Amino acid sequence: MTERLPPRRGEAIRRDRPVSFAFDGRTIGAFEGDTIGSALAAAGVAITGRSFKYHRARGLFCMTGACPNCLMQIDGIPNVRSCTEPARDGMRVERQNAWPSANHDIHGWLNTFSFMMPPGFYYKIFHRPRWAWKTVEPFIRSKAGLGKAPKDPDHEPREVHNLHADVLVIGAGPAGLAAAAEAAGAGASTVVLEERAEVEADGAGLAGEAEAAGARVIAGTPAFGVFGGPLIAAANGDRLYRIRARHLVFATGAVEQAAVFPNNDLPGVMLSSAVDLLVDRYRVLPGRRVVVLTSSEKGYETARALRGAGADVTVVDLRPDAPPVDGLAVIAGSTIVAAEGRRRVREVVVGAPGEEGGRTILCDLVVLAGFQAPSTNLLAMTGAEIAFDEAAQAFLPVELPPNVHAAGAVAGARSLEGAIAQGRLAGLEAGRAIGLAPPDADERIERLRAEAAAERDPVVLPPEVGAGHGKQFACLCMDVTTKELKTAVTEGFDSMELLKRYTTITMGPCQGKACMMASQRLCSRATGSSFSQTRPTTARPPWVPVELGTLAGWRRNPRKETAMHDRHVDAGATFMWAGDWRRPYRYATPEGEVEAVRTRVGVIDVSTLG
Amino acid sequence: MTFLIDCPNCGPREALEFSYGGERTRRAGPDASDRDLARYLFFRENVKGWQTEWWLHRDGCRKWFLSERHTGTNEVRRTFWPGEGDGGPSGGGEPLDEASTA
Repeated sequence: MTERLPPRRGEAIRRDRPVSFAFDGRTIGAFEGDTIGSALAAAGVAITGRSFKYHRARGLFCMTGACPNCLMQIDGIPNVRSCTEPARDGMRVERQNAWPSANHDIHGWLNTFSFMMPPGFYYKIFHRPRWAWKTVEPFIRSKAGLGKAPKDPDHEPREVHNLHADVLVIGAGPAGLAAAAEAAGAGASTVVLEERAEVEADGAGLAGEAEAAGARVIAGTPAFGVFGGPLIAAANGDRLYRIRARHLVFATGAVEQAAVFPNNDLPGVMLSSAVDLLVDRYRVLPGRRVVVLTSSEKGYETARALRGAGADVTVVDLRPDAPPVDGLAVIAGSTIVAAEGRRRVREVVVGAPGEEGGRTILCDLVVLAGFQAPSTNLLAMTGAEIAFDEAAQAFLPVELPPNVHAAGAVAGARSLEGAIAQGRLAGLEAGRAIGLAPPDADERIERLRAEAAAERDPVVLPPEVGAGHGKQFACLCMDVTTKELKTAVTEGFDSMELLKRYTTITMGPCQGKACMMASQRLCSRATGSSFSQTRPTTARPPWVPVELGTLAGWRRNPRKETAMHDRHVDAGATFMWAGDWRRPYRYATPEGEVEAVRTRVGVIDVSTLG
Repeated sequence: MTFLIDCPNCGPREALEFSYGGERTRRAGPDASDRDLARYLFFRENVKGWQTEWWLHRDGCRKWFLSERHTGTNEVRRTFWPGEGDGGPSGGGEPLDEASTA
């Protein structure tokens, strides 16, 4: 059991309110404010599940619900992202896709026999004799898949909320909150959707500004799709939101991306988003000997936080001219070539990009920091055009449909100031377009345009692949390696859309969040084109996972009662449904009722017929 | 397919509350030839662009009205009662212009 770090202002956990939950037969202690993922990290659980196909050990990776590594069966519901699921007293949490346990999964042997299972292997073999497929199919099906579908009836009625607003802002980061503050300040009815359970207090006080201006912030409610209309769909647990707005501001941010090298899927290899949250918010130190791979200030921020928490940190910077930093060991112009370990990362090889070999550094945590892919998916669903930006090394929106705005990291902002300026600009422009402009709007819009111009420092990405033995994973959801992508390209599936359908990259639970960039770059490498020419696959809903019950489950139905309902009740009526109406079915016994009608008189209340 | 339609009686409502009644046509008159009758019954313009069409507010006021909708984008730019506005036929037994010259 690792210890929690000392208390700190801004931490998410309430140390005075302990909770506990059952985890694979054990009891795990946590605090209110913890997620299942952070509680497990605090309890020293490194393996959060087994992978989809090869049953490899996987651990916490993103902590933001953007990867498949921590999917668990929670209170009977499969594939819950435990890294963002709040820990509550008495929960029943089980790891998936492993038997008898995730620590000792009997099917780990599948990893050794992976050479027999290239992508689409089931299309290629078992064709003859004809009974072959029938024999092996049940076996293959039992080994693949995620979680167990619940057999009980759906737990409770679901709700649909229809909202109408002048301006809808998606994402309550700095850019989104700035946009909401401006739009609401101008007098527009403004709704903000945020995926995280709470909008964190930020240094710039934007959350307060937006709410004071009258914006309605709905937290814990990710938008998952844009449909014709445009209609925005968002989900909050059992509640489905259908939202229409005259103007849409997309401030959906960016998703941090992995680097590709042998064994890049080992538990202990994490994104900086995960490490930042664990250290700052949940006060857990996820490793003591740490290697941080970065090419920007982001990696140094995380490195300082880790060092402050007592870890021994080495920074590997891809930039040859990385500036020296006090007290941090920095290896410039290098990358992580490979990682080693069995159930957890044990060491990494650090060397020059594109070359084999290098020096070995022992570690129990590898942090991949600051490689980002803008979350353009929802934006693309509106019909926005995206194009490659050389400086940002990413696909950014270039042409937006009418009444659609983009601000922040999704639009290429890389600094807090740039993101806020873009947000304010979007909010002001949306307000102005619906005739709600403060007197100085035109002048401020001009000024903000200058401030919001995207930064031009070139982004440095890690090499497409590492070197050495071991599987290099492009896609964690579906267990697709660089070698398999290369084979698929050789077989003629030589574009992103074809690779997606053949190898299932970007098709898993994460829907490409954690793997789109790596897949694009590996595809371009294998086909001899360039990243800039390899567009991401078509964006389709759902951008975040949504329970089928929320979409199609039991609804709360209106219940209508006629003006004389109480008299029916007094007369001892039992009721039936007639559309939304409660209509008397009968008053006493059927025989008594028949006799009454035959010998005396019968009255029926037909006001339910309209 | 979900968008809003501004019912002239009730105001903007979800398209799912309405039933589509097809594009506005000119009804063949009592003396129409078989050819004109067939044309009225079986042929439609089927434009991609602005179309004047009938809608019924099925789950609301249950009134029929007309709308101008872009069939490519589902944008509704105008809704109005039959006989209102553009002087177009309201579907009430006017002769077929084109047919009478054809």
